[in-house]
Amino acid sequence: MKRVLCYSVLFSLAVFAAVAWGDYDIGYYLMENYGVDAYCNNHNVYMNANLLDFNTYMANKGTGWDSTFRVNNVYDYHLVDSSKQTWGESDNYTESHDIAIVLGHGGITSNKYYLQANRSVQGRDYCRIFPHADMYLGESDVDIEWLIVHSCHSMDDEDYTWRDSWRPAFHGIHQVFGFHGVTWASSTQAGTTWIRENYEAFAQDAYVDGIADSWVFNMYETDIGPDDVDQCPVAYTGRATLANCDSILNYEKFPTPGQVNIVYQDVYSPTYWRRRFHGGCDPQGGGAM
Amino acid sequence: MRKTCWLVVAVTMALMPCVAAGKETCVDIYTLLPVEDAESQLFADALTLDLDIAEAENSTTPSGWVFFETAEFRIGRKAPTGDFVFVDRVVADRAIESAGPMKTNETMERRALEMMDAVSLPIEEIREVEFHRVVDQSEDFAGDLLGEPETTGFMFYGSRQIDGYVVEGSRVKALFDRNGDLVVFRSFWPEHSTRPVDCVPVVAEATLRTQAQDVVESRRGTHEITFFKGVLGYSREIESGRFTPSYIFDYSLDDGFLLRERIDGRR
Repeated sequence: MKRVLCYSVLFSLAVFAAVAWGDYDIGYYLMENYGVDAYCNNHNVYMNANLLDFNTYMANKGTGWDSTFRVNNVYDYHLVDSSKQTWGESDNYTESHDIAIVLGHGGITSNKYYLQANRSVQGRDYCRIFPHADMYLGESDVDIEWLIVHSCHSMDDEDYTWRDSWRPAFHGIHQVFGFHGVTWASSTQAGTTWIRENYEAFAQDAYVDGIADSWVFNMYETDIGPDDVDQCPVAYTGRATLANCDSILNYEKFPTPGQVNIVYQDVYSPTYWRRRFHGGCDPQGGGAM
Repeated sequence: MRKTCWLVVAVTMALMPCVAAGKETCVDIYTLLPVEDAESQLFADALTLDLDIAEAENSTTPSGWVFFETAEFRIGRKAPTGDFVFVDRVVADRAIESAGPMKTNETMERRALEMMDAVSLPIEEIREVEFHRVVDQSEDFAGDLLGEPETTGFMFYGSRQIDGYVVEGSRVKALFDRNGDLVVFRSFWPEHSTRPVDCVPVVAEATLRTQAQDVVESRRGTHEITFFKGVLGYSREIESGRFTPSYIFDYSLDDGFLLRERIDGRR
């Protein structure tokens, strides 16, 4: 939970900036085991090990980010907002952290991205979480500023899927990060060295070069060839002006716990939107961007 | 997205020693040279890059990174892999209006290669280079796209080969701002002995592919498998002390995540 104060000296920046200090935290929601609830069945996929160096770096920054790891027992209600479904409790889970990192299978149906939950209350069997219908990210009583969705198609470029999936969910959150097309994860609990390296590099650079650039730069990969398949990271924001969209993608950085930080203010009803991505990026399961 | 393949020449040149020696097909084995003292290496890097670290703040991470940081830059080295990073904080934070003349693509590529050279990464080990734009696309309230995507930066990506064999996960990246000035340079490129310490016979690639497909099959369960591709290359796990010939392959289950595994390629 952070405290925010606005100083008069920063009045001219007040549209987008505030001074904040205090504690920050990360919530990890990693759906690795898809065999627990038969109705949400899918193959297992692993990510926990790939995030350990990311988390260690964050935990050692300033007075340290706190973290909560929730591996496997991620239920539908952790991800769904109560304003969308009466049983939703995301305010107490994914939205209660400054950063939420979600791993899970993902797909597209009728032009909308869905995250496949691995747990749901029996009888409800709510295994597909659609951001446009189930999420309401960042209203004033929650903390979330940045959502990272490590999932195939989470920011898919085809047929305006990114737009129709995420715009309805933007209500104060600063940026959402995902992938166009299919992305890589690990087939074993040991993780994958280069994915782990990329997440640590993402944490490092997000303090000095900005979060969006760091995401797009460090998560870009191409496969072992010869007919290359790319990993296509995307950063997405919604703000009050185009200039502010440009500004937040260029300059917003992770705050350092225990220090005074310049942070962007929440925009609850954005009017402009902007995506950052690699021109021509061509993944498996999607066309070139 | 433009890609330049440097592989053909490299393969031709690299396979010559084994053939010339009259041996059966074998792959040269190199010893990995770990960076024992990342801080000392970083002093040398700073000197080469003409960076003044007299007033720099020093920090370390549990994973082995050592950083020197000032208001102008940040450089880091990781032990024992030798991974390297440089961030120009002035370029990262400046308003683009304050930038000088726009750089050409050739100038940016040359800058990336100069950085490789400066931190002792052998350019002849580049397998393939990609160079492409990073862009922003804006949308209005109604959801309509506003104009064409705007260039906000440029990306250089180089993959690695040794003796014509891919080194899995070894790569160099450089990010330039929209004016073409270097913002970030990163390398994952562990150094190896200049001469091979051994040359080991490898399993035929077709056989390795079959073995890899068997591994994938064992993961099948009730799921559909797509086997994408595999190559005989080197794995670069520093713990092993050597670049080990491996068959590296990508597959997916139910058209989901891409998954990469490797099996030992030695006979």
